[in-house]
Amino acid sequence: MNAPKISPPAQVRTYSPEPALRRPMTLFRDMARDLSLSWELALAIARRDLSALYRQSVLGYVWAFLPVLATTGVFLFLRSGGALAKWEHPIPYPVYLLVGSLLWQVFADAVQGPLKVVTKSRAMLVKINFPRESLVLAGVLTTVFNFVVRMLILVPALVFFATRGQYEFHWSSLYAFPLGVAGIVLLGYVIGILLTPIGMLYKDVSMGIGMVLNFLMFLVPVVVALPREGMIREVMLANPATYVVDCARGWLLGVPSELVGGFWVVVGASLVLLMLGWLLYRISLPHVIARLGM
Amino acid sequence: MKDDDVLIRVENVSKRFCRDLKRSLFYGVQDVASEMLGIDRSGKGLRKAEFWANTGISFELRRGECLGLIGHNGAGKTTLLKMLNGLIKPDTGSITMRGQVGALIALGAGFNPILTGRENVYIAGSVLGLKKREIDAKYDEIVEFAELDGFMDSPVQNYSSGMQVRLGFAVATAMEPDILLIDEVLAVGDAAFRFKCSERISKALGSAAVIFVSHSAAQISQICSRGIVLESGGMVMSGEIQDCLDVYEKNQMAKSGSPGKEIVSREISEAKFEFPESCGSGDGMDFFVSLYFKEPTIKTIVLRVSFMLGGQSVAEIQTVLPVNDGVLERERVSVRSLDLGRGNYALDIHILSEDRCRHLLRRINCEHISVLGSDWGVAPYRIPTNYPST
Repeated sequence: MNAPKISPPAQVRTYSPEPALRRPMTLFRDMARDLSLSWELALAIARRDLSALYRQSVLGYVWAFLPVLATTGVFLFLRSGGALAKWEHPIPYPVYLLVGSLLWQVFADAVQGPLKVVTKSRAMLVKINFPRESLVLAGVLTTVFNFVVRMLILVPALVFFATRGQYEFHWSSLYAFPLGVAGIVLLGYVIGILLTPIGMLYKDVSMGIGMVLNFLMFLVPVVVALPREGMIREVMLANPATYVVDCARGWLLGVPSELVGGFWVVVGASLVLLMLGWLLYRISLPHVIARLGM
Repeated sequence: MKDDDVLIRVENVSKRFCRDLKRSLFYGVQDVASEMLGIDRSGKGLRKAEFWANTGISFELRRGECLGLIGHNGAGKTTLLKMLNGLIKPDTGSITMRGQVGALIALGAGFNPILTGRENVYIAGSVLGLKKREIDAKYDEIVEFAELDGFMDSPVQNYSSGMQVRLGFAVATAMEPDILLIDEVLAVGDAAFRFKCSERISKALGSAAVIFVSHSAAQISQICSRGIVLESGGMVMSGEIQDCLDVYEKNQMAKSGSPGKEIVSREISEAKFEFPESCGSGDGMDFFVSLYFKEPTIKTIVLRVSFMLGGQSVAEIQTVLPVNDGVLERERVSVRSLDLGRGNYALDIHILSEDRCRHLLRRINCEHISVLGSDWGVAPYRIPTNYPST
């Protein structure tokens, strides 16, 4: 091997029961350093998770959008049969529903992402010390990748709708839509990260998230449009997901949503909560790992 | 010696764990909340159902030193390693680690079974902090050390545990860390692999500090210069590796030794053996055998005394003794030189009939002898030569 090292080692780490918050400068410096070290690792972990996910299946990436297509198909069928109320929105229902469902799926992925990736890496967490920000970053990369796959279904669908005159392309979509999607991913991840520490200890959290996301889909304007007034409108407006989903869809389809103001409020609050979530994630992990067993 | 060279400093470190799962999870929530609020809980004692997995551990390790971490199963060795590796926080005291840390704490950690060996090397490498081009440079060396040429493109789930540990060790040591932490994973490998590991660790000692956990006294005494012995979470001994192994073996014997077993055939009414408590390595030794048969029919017996180390028989005395009128009255058996290495041996005593077909007496784990000497060496049997052994 190499000649013995002669220069003193650069990195000194101290571990003690002292709360990390008592030394904020050290804490923030460590957080920044770990974040910078995380990128390459995040790519490797994302690649690992994605290829493992689809390697053992025949249909592979089709599973990314099959569930959405199925539920969309069912709702179209119900509405065409007159099972649901009359549609009065400028955007034609099939387009509205398909785009909304896909965007909701991205949100649901983002909320469940952090807890899923951390749980999957549990074996690694209890044995190796590595910058754990990489796990969350890997989750973001996975969510974005799955979103891009879903776009592959959306693009031909939009072309189809365009031929039927139900959809018109706007150049502004090209920069506004990604912004909207970024808002969805940000909100979802913030919620996900805040829930991760307790989710690692108690299984109730992951089970609960799944259940809540399922019925919450009906309390955002995806399957039904945002009513002009009434209690349903109030309930929908109380849900931050409403703003990001509606605006993203509006930007894609060139019919700007009325909720753009709220969108920015949600994004701003998310950025603040993101810092809090990161701090909580970092501080809680050693305590959680101690409880996870050998 | 410069203080610069101290790579690991552990001062009065302890760790609390909880036995009950539900309570443990709740304490986890409590601990996170305390830390988020900036509360330091180190002064507090044990909550309900908690116990100390580690108490009051202190030591220093410099570059070039190898510390053997010895203790019974459940003594707190892995917990201590996890604290050194920064995975969990100590509840008292402090730990200072200088330099890059490489750890081999479990088999296949970070290996995804569906992915191939090659893919896993790249991932494990980046987990340990290597960039892709650094891993490229070391890839061939890793495969060669692990002896997995031709297997690197198969999924890891097809690897045996021996193959996995070879790969894990190769990757962990490839990054040439300043501090190397090795838990008892090496036991899974075969003898040839363990020898290669010892070699590589010895080489690494030129530029690193190593902490090595093993139950194999031979391997530890070969690689390590110092040791600490853990017993139920506390440090009972710290110092020269030979002394530590002594203490550890004595405790092990005390645990597993009792109760001894004895099976005596109906023909014997009483049997007594007197062995000295200790004997120097290579010295002469006398022991006494007393046997009383019910009938004077048996004229000759075969006495076999097996010297047991770690449950294995490493040497034996086999003699033919004449029985006079059904009685052996304190018969002296002399050993010219007890050519055994230093250690605590359990004695298994067998008395067989002259034709060796029948067992007349079996006494297992009832007698012990300490062989004194200055070093452990590797093999128990010492072949004497015309030169002194120490």
